[in-house]
Amino acid sequence: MNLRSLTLGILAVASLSVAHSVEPDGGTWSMTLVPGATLRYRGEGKILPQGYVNRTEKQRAPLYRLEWRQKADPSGYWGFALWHTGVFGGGAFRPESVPDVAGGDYQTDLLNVGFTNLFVTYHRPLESWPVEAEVGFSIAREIFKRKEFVVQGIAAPNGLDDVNEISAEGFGVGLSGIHGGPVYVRWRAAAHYYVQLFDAKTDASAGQIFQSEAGLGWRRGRFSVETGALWHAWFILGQGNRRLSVPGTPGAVISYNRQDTRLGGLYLKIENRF
Amino acid sequence: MKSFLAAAVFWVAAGARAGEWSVQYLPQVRTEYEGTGFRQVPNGWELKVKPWTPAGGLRWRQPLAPKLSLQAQYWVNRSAYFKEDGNTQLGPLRQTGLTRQSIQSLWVDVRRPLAGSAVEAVGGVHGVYQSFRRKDIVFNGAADPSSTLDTQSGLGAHLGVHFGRLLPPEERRGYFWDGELLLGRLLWTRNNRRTEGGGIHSGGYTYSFRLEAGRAVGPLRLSLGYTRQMYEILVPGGRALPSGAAGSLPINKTDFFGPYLSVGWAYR
Repeated sequence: MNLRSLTLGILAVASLSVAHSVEPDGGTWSMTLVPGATLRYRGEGKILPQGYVNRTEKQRAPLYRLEWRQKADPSGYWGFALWHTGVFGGGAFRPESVPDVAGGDYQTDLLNVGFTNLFVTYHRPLESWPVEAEVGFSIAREIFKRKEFVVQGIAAPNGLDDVNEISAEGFGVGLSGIHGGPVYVRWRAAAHYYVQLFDAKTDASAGQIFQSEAGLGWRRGRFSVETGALWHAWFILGQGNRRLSVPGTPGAVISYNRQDTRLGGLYLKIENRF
Repeated sequence: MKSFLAAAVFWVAAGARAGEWSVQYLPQVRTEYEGTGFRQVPNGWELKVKPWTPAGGLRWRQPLAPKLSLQAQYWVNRSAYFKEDGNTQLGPLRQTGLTRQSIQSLWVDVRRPLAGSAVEAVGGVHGVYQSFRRKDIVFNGAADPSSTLDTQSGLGAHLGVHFGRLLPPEERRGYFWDGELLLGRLLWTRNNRRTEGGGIHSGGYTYSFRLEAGRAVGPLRLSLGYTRQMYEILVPGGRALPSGAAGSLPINKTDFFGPYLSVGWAYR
């Protein structure tokens, strides 16, 4: 299934859901797609006695965000959002290399970086301003898929691949605003701080996600469509030091201690109030 | 530079007879630095230093409009040489030395309450500057005669919440308390000992937490508080000294925390 058919399929399912959402509970749901998002990943790690860094190319990483909110209420309301990108959503594998301190490459492989993040957020408007504050909790999981390893010039056995994951839990704050009538401008910025509750070997301070987005939308009745730009920057710590056994070599590097991931692109958002 | 900054702060404070000014004194602030990441030489990975010195702060609060206020706060530590240790692996790869870490930060933001609540949402900008003077370096078992100055700067935006019960300026007696949590992202960073070769070399993130309680005596505001701040500055570091010892690192995390005494003055 290619990206276009997947995107059209999701939009079709979303549209059908809109058409059949008849429960008058006053909430809203929305689907945001960043079909041409690019993702940049950088890792640095300690594998004594050498400090490793990787080299990766930009990846195509379509981003999907499904969001549901209670009816907006001046006394506050809740919502949740699920963010996902990765190879299952049309993301591409791109070359990764690990330079050797003696020159050349220690390792080459193909890498896909994805994430699935859940944000549970409490929204409340500011006094007399068309701006909302938000406070939320989140569970973030970053997923690294690697294949086609060549380590010190030795190709790994056919079919050898690896999936490596990092999870973190966090809390965050943000601000957002919608300005205008049928044609409106929407913006949002949020910062989330992370700890790793279930990873005692890692520093308790586990990183941060910063999100910003702004767009122009058009609303008709209960339905709105919007387009704009989105940026998602993520720094997270991990244990690092893990290697995958490749016979005849010290092993393939499959994890780093520090990861910097930045995703950005133009988005299309549809929203329905039901 | 420091004396200029101190003079500027003093004259701004003396000239701006408005709002509420306060000075914070931290008798012993704990500053924990950990630098990690790429190095030009293949050896080693991290440096750590934990200074234990006095620090101070200056804060100004000023109403801008009904239910809209501004706060600026500046924090600085008194730097001194402390033992720095690098790389947890024992043996010849180890780097040790004396490091004097200085850190200064400025947070400026506006605050507005949530609808029907005393809790305020916060949005603003901040900057951080830190420097490391290193000497008496021993690397790979040999003394390095070099001394270095590694400087890092960052500018960013922050969001947060402020809560508590503050007294209006005309209130001359009573108890108050407040706290805030600010989460920030560094959007611009720079360092002086730059090098090529690393992967993570721009951006960063920060937080600042403060909790404080005290009593007003006339225009005076006397309080006790606790602050905890964190600055993670990402720069193209990793530059090696001639011996191979690290002169800078790309991933620089500094925790700054401790209890403080605060004395303030509220203008009517």
